[in-house]
Amino acid sequence: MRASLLVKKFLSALVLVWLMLSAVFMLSRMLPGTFGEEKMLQSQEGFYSQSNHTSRAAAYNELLKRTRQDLPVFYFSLAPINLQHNTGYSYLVPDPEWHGLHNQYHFWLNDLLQGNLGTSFVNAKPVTIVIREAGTTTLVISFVSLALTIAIALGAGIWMVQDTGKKLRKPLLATLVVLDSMPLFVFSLLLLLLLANPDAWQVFPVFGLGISLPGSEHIWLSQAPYLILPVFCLTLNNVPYLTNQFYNYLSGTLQAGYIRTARAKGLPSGQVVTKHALKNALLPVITVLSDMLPALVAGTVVIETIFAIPGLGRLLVSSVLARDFPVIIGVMVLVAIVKMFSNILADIAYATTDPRIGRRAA
Amino acid sequence: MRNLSVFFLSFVLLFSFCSQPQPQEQPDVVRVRLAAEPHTLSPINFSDAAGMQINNLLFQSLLGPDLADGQLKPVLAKSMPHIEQKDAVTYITYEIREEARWANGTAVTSDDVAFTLKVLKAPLLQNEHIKPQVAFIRDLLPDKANNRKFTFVCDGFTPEMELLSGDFFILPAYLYDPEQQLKNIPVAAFSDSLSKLENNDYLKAYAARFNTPVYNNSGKILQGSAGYLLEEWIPGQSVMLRRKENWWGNNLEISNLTANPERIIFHVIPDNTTAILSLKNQQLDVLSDIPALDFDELKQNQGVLKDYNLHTPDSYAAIYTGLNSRLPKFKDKRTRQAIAHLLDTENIIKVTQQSYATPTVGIVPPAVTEYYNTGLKPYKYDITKAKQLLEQAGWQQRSKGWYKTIDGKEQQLTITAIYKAGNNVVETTALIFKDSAGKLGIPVQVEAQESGLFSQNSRNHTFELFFRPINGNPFAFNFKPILHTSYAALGGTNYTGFGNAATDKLLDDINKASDKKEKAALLKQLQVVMQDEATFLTLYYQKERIAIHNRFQNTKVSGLQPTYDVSAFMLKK
Repeated sequence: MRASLLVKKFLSALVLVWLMLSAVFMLSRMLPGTFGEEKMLQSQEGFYSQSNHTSRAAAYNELLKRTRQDLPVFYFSLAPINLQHNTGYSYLVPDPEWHGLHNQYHFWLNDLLQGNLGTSFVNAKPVTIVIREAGTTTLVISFVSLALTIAIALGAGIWMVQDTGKKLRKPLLATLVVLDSMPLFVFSLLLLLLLANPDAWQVFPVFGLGISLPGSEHIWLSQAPYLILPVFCLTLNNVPYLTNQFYNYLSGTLQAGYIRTARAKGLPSGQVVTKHALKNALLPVITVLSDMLPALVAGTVVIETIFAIPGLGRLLVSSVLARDFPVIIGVMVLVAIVKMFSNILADIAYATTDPRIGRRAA
Repeated sequence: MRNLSVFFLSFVLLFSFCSQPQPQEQPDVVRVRLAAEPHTLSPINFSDAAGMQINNLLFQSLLGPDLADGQLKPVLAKSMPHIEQKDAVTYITYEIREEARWANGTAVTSDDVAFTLKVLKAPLLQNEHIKPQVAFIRDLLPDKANNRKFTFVCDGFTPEMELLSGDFFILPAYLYDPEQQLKNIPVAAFSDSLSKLENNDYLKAYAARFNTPVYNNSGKILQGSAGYLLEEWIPGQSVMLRRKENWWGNNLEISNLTANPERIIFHVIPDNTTAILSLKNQQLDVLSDIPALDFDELKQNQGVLKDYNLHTPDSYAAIYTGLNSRLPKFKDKRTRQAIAHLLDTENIIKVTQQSYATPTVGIVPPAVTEYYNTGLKPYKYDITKAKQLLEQAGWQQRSKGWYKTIDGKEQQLTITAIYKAGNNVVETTALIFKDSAGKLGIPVQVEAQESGLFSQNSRNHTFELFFRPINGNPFAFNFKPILHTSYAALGGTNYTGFGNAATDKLLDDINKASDKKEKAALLKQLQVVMQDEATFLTLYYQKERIAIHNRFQNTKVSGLQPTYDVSAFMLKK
């Protein structure tokens, strides 16, 4: 694949990322409620009043001002349509109100272009630090799980299309269907109850990543046992779908004429699959793999909650609940960038797998 | 066969690798589960229970509840404050304990309290969550002869002023404002119009420094006068506290000034199943808020019972039903009483709380024995009685339900029961009520409402009946905001429209009563009136469900949050 083509793809991906993030920005601002609103304005009932509504409202307005949430969301807004007070069809003509550059989107975009994702509303931490703290574990879990998923699915797919796997193909496919239909939280909890339970098998640690008291030695490897079960669960969640895809594409490819020719030449079955069929069967799988990111992020939300592991999934959920907009957008920026790179990698993989695609695109 | 051997060997290796010893308990380290991580540990901007619990171990307020007996007691203050009312101003005088010291060994003085008030009230700072609580304090007058004595000058008077004036964490001025940027701005300036201060260069410079992460999460700044220091906060995982060496409070032998465990570790474990497994695995010493079904299972588990004590103290959290008495169909109190008889509280407790709750006759918790009216009996589920009351109220039963002519128009008795979406307890409660009312031919429509909408409908009186929780305590009983008619206008907090001139006087008298006997008599009378009016029907008070490792004693298990005092834990000898 030529470098100019890569640059072109990168630039068009950047435009897409900008559009996607702008949409997320607008949608997040459309969520009901703002940061601090519920806690500050809707006081808990009790046997005495901690403050009056006026002082709470004044403090809330200060909060909005400090966090720039009091500004208009975009450069312009459209007045809501009021059917009752309109005669004729005048309400069909939009009535925009111009807010100028002093708006939330402008400030956000300006900061973003300077590489600044803002600060978290809840603890004043720069969003980049918040994401770095949470993202490391998620990335390790996701990529290890992705690598394992590909290896297992590929191995199982190849094995099933070969003569050696014929006998167990049906029960294995049935098992994969059962696994695929089980929600992630169900078998995560089942595995936890089975393999981290003193009443059953106490094999794995129950939660977290382990902590070390000051003075004691803390090495990275000591966290590995804590990650085995979460990685295993996430892998198990994705293996059935990917194995099915591999198996179907491989089976289809094995019906092709050139495979019959290869067989007629007397090549061994394994060589036919790995040397001739696999490369062509991989093409559609690349698309599937590049689209697996959302599933992985969704999976980490469950995994991180059940195994009490800090990560992006939990961060995203807590940020949405707290309406911590800078962190929500920050996480989405990361997801969008990873997605953009995975698409570019997929394009490169297409061109490598089938050079005709690269030549055609050029 | 070779493949099988390799697989078996890998399996054994993996398991032996993972089966390394689990984190073992250390005798003087207490490991506590947090269901959610605190957003911030800033002592003036925390907004959640975890933040409150941890801050209580780092900082101290002037007053605080002693979980051993549920009484409000002096903490940093030497004694309870002296309160004096003059016209529309209340003067609350405190003296700080002379032994009280900051982490650097310097004494806690009234200058620190004045500084704290400035930080709480200042514009531009991240203090919005607590700012409304101290809005009533206008100024602080230091005692010229004693730098530990001072007087708060407060607007008006409410009975909870004593509690509120002592219920915020005092900050060390030497650490929070080393450049003394706020020193020359008087406290009173923060009570006037704040627009001038917003342009004050010193305040702007201070805000730029104060609104940074170190003031939210760093152990170098988060150092108060309490017995612990923040050792490490691993985001999303744990918060570790270490006991101060030679902490001043340990020499006083005062029951609510303790710092016994050497180290306290808060583990963030969001999922209940994981938390319970951790308890069974002895990776936790304290687990609270255990779901009722799991708690019953733990009670049967011999392994758990060998190492843990299970507690169910009476809490101060209740569920109540509010009827909008402003609606014509609920105007007659006999109609409301009939509805009260359709609330099957026993069944509700059994289903939603697995019987870990106590039915109550009214708003005063049964655990507060001196004020609880034992002469009354809670409403019983009784369809016959409900039928009689409806008939007495003029309702006629027909094949399709109950009808009455109100304001010249025939109206059917129907009820829309609302609750805040996401609260499973009140949802089940509403469904049980629907079933009970249906047996008498009263159609009930159950509606879950989004939090904001639910609050808005309550404030705007656009509801018929709701179920909601209420949080109480054993030391403050000012029910005016929820029961007085002056709060019953649109937007007010008396949602149900309860009250009349007589009940308003009763509520005022309760607030004025300084004698405990008189207060008890008045509160018991209020419970009688509330039960008779059947507008604000408290169904039950919940019980907490806690497990604590039995190597500890003096755990001060209580119904007050956080339901135990981890700083008081002592190893059994």
